[in-house]
Amino acid sequence: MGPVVINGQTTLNAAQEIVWKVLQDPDALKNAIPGCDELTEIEPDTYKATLKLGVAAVRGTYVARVQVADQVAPSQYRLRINGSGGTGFVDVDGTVRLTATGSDTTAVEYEFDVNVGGTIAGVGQRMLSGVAKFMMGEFVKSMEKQIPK
Amino acid sequence: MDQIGRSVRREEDRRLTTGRGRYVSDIVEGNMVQLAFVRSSRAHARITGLDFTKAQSMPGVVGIFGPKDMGEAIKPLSFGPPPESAMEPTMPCPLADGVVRHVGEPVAVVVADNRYIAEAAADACEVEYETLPAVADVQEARKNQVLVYPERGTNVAAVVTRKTGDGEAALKRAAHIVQETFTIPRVVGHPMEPRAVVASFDPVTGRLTVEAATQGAHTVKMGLAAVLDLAPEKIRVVVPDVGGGFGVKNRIYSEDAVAAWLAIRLGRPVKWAGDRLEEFLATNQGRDQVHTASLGVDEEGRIVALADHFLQNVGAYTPEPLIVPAQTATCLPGPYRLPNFEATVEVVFTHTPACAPYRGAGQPEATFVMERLLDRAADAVGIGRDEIRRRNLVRPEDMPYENGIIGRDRQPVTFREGDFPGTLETVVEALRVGTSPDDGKLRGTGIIDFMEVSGGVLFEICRLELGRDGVVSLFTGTSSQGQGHRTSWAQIAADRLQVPMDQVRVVEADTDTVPMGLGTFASRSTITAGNAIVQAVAPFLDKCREEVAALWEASPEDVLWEDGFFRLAGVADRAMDLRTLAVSRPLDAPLVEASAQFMDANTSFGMGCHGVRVAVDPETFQISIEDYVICHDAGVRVNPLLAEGQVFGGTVQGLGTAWYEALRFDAQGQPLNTSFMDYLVPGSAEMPDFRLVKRDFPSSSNPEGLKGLGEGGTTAAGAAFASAVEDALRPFGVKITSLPVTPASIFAQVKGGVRP
Repeated sequence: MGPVVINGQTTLNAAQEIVWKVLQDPDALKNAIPGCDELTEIEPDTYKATLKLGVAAVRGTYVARVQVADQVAPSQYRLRINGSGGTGFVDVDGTVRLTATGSDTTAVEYEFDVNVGGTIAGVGQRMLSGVAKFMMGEFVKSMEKQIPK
Repeated sequence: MDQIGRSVRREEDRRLTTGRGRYVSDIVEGNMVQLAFVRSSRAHARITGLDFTKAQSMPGVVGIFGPKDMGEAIKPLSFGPPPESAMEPTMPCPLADGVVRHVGEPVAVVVADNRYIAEAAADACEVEYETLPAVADVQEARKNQVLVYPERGTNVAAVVTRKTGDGEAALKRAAHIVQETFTIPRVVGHPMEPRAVVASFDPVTGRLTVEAATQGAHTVKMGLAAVLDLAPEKIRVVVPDVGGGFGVKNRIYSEDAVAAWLAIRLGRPVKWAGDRLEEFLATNQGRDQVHTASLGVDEEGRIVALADHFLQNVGAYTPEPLIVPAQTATCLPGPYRLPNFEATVEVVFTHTPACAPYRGAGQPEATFVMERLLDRAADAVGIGRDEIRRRNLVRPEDMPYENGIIGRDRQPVTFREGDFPGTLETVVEALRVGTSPDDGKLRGTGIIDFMEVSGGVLFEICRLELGRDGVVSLFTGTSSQGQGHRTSWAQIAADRLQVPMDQVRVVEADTDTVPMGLGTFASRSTITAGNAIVQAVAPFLDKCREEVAALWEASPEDVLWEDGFFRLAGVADRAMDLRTLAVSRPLDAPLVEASAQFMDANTSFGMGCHGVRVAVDPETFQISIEDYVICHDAGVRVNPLLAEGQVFGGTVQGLGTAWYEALRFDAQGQPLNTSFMDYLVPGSAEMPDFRLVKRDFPSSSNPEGLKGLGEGGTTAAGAAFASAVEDALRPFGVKITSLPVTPASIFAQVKGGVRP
């Protein structure tokens, strides 16, 4: 069994330039990443985050390195998250693509490989795919709220 | 009164079933600290950093130690006895030395006031990994694309072969050849009590005392002496009550070494009591073989040749490297007349926990392969599955029958006693097959044969000592994890000493009481300790006779031993029992004691047969067992009640592998089902009422005729269950070639297009 693949797409009611800006704004990221308590820039496009996550019965705090790379403004970037904590690790690597579908609408497509290890893999594997999809949904919903009207 | 052969209830039961057991977890010493291990979350990685800063400052944390802190003690653990000459064991260090090779390998250890704090602090330790490629699947590992030990250049740790007659070449003389690939998955032993240890160091005497939940007290002692560089006499290992072992508690583990090292370093008693997750990650596991096997038979179904090439996933470390694969290769021919045989096994490293002996230790795998092939061959020839067995079993007139293979006792495998076809008939007749209720379910039966290999592994010592109160203390190096040795050893001694059972006190697995012992594994304890007990009785009674003679001012030759009394020849009113002797001796006289060592030079073989009838719901493929008949030659049964318990318990454990259990790993070596939510084990509700039919043949391999029977249940159950389910699903044409057999595994095949 390989990594869990999370993909999907959604449409946000804002122009592509605005969506691009919000998706890269550290404050917006912090508010949108589920369980994110802290997000500090440690070098350009690289952040240190503290995440509190629960998968099945396994709840833990993860210290994560969040990296935004390979930006092609305003349409594409790569997002890597490497988090680890006492109950295991979560590695996320994937691409986000933005396409203008209208003057005020933008399609957001994403595909991530999620690798987990340690207790969360052994105890939460069954739930993982569902939890990841749920969290992605929360992330998108929250981003939508943060788009300036 | 004869004690051997009585179904005595266990002396241990009242205590153990009313919460008065004393397991390692119950041990509380003054000033004691507890451990939690920081374990690798990676299957293969280089440790590039350890940061304990945050954890160290947590209240209640006494200290946190990494491999550098342990200095000289960071070296591969030593297995200790028994010696394994064919291949050097590859053992882990007490804490990973730079590289981790499976998820769960200990990386650092937290010492704290209690386990709660220790676990919280372990979670707060930061480990920096450089993740390296990993491989968990044995067939992938065999490709050598990812190497567990790059310096070896290959993952193949060893190749073992067995051959008789013309071997594989003889297949071409067969009228029918059936070939199949069989998979037996990785399973976890899961004793009810996880591994645990308490270590205390006395700075005044310089002695280390270790109470460990282990099958081998002396094994742990010798292992600790080697890793800590201590003289063995400075170490005492005592085994308290233990809740199950099944083979996986039969060696020294990293946690034992770390706890002992810390006890010396800190000068405080140290306890580690593992939890269920640690049992999933860091205790030896079992099975995990992939076979490609062919059986050739003639027109009448008589075996011409068996050939098998298989892979053994041994994991990242090999504490007992060749025991399981060699035993599988040796046991493949089973109780059959088999003129040509060839097996080759490649033993392959992977980034998974060590795969080592677990109840059955290679025998269930062999039995599954051979019995499945016989079922196939019967179908190919067009005869019944029982009939093909009838035509091939070794017959009484063939005995002693040598099958041409050298066994674990380095002797030719020889079946010396038994009536194998008779045993088969007994089960065929006993199994209820009659008419089925018209409930739409599909029914099928499986009847399979097996051999139980027992004993044949070195020696045990028994020492008998007459206490001042007349109680005879019995000391030996085996240890009980629920087998009831205190009862059955007392029965054997009481039988020969002609005293009541409560006049015998059994003390097992305390390294201060006997100079050496191998421990409890390989279904050897009753045979090896049992014969040692019997052989200690004669010298013990000789010593007693001398004492009686001194009291009576007579010659020892004139003191006779009859019916539990010493008598003076020719003097009718002179009689004395052991109790009277004990209290009559001068207080300054040395204790009366005697020892015997029994060398178990020859393996015992017990043949058996399992018959099972199942019903399968054709909609859901839910399986239920409707009848289960077992015949298992146990030789002389010391305690038939306990013998029955071993057979039933073993069968339940075997049904676990047959029906539910498999530890799955992903491509990165992450175990995916490490809780009882996702890894199912058998429960009492699904188990049938087993019916036992007895046909026992005393072993001719040891003086007392004893045979082991702890492993036959696990050996037989998988093959029997698979056969019955496949038989029931004939309308669907389902082929069962792997375990466990689950509704999902059946559905996968039916969905694939074999619906009737």
